Amino acid sequence: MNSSEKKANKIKSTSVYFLFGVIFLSCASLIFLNYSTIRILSANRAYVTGETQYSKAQKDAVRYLTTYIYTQNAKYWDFYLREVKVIEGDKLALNTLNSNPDDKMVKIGLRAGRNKEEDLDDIIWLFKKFKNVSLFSNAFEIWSKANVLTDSLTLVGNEVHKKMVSTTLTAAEKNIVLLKIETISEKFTVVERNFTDAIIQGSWKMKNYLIFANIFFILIIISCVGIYFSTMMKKLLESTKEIKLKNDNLLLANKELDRFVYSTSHDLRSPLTSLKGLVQIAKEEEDLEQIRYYFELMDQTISKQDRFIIDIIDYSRNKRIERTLETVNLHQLINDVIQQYSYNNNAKTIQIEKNLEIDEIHSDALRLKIIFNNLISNAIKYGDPEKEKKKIEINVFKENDVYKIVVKDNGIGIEEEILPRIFEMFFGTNHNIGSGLGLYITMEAVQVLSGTITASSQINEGTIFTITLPNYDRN
Amino acid sequence: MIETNTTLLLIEDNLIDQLITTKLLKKAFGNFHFNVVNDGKEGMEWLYKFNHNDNDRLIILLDIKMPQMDGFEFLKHYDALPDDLKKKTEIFMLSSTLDPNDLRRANENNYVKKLFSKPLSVSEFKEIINI
Repeated sequence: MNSSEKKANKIKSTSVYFLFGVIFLSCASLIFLNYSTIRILSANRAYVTGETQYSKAQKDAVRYLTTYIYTQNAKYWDFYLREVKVIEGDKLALNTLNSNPDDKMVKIGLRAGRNKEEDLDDIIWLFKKFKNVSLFSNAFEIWSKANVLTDSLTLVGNEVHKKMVSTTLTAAEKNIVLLKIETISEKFTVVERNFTDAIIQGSWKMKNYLIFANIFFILIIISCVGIYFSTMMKKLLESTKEIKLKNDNLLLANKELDRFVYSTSHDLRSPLTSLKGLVQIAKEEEDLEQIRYYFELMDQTISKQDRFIIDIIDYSRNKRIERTLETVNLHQLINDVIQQYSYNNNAKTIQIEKNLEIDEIHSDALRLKIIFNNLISNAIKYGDPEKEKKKIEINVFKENDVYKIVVKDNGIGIEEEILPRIFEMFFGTNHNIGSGLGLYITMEAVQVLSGTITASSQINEGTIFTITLPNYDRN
Repeated sequence: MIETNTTLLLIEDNLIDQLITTKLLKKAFGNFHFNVVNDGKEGMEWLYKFNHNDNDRLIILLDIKMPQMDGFEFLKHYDALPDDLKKKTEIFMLSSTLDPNDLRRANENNYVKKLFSKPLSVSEFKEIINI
């Protein structure tokens, strides 16, 4: 029982550690997730801002190139070059990111792409983390498509510029070039729109995942705390209950001990006060016969006290000594008990009959002795003087794998109303012949052997005590 | 000598103590109306039969620890008896108890004049009942 309790405690404490582990991991995950969320959303905004700069620069570059072709004013060529540098910068950035882990070069490209200095780290971080994640990889593919367009635009620009510096373009040539530029520009517009969409869609999805994950982890934490709280409350309630029960039992035990001490001291003292009284009246008595009679009474009083002390010792031994199982010879044990009463005047007139189906029993000798001693002594003490043949019948037999001990007498019997109280401590009908402890100790001894004891009686007919004891042979 | 119209009742279950108390009282008071019963229940039965109109005084010596009905239970039942009987009655307890609970209860009970320790100190008893 003790070890299983310990085991249960161990299980409880490991489950508590498990709960704490889950809470700790959930909290750590939440912190990591929320940090990532903020960073991803910030990087998303950086990408969108960067794209705005990119689109503006691309549109301006196309516009300046077109204006340059129409006006042949070199100023617009310079403007064109300035804007193209922006989209070239982003192209450099992506190429470096894909091929070269050097952040410095990437940053140079991004700066040229008019990205804000504070955003550069987030842009690089998102790319590196989500390069191969479908959420954002789409956007990065679109970015590389835009870079192809950038190449086409610069190629057309450079060709036109070269021709315009050496010769003048014909109207037809101009139209072809302008048409080319327009096509590229339209492709740019589509790509740019798709890029923004891809980024935004990625962030929407991300947002949904993160909200879900947040709810999930918070629920885990709440349930773990809930479980922990309820187990703690349960434990607390249990221990409070246990303490209360223990306390009640202690109070009861204390009360019983008090009662026991006073009852015992009374029962130990009353023979002494009787002796004192007998001595007093004997001193004043002159009749020798009478004095002899007083001595006889003194003798009885002393025997009674002696018997009481033996009962107390039996009671204490029964309480203190652990059960020890051994092979007990029943014939001998019962004969020893009967032998004690052979000088008793009452016992001389009683016929004791033994019917033992079993010679030996595997049980506790001390307890068996207490049981037989008290039952036989009671049967002798409460024998019916009116009866011609006083009888005690002792039966021991086996029934359905339990041992049965039946002690039957034809004595004075026990009144029906007091029959339920006979096993109570200090209960007795006649304190002149009994201490009120015998049957109580008998019952306790039976309980030590995990047995049962019952009594049935009929006034003037006799009393039957039936004891069942478990068969310990098997164990 | 006790007056003839004074009656004494000893309620005591221990046979040897009955003998001792009887002997001690007889030696001190000589012959008088002296009755012995074995416990509280018998005491009550005796009281129901007792004709208090013919008697001036009833003195009860009551033991505490007795089977069937103990001294304190007897006092509870005694409470229900008619007042003119109780007016004529004096109760003394006689016990070898040391239980403070018993001492307190005896002390608190209005009917109990005194708790005597066994064996009865006759001279003290004589003084108190004033005979």
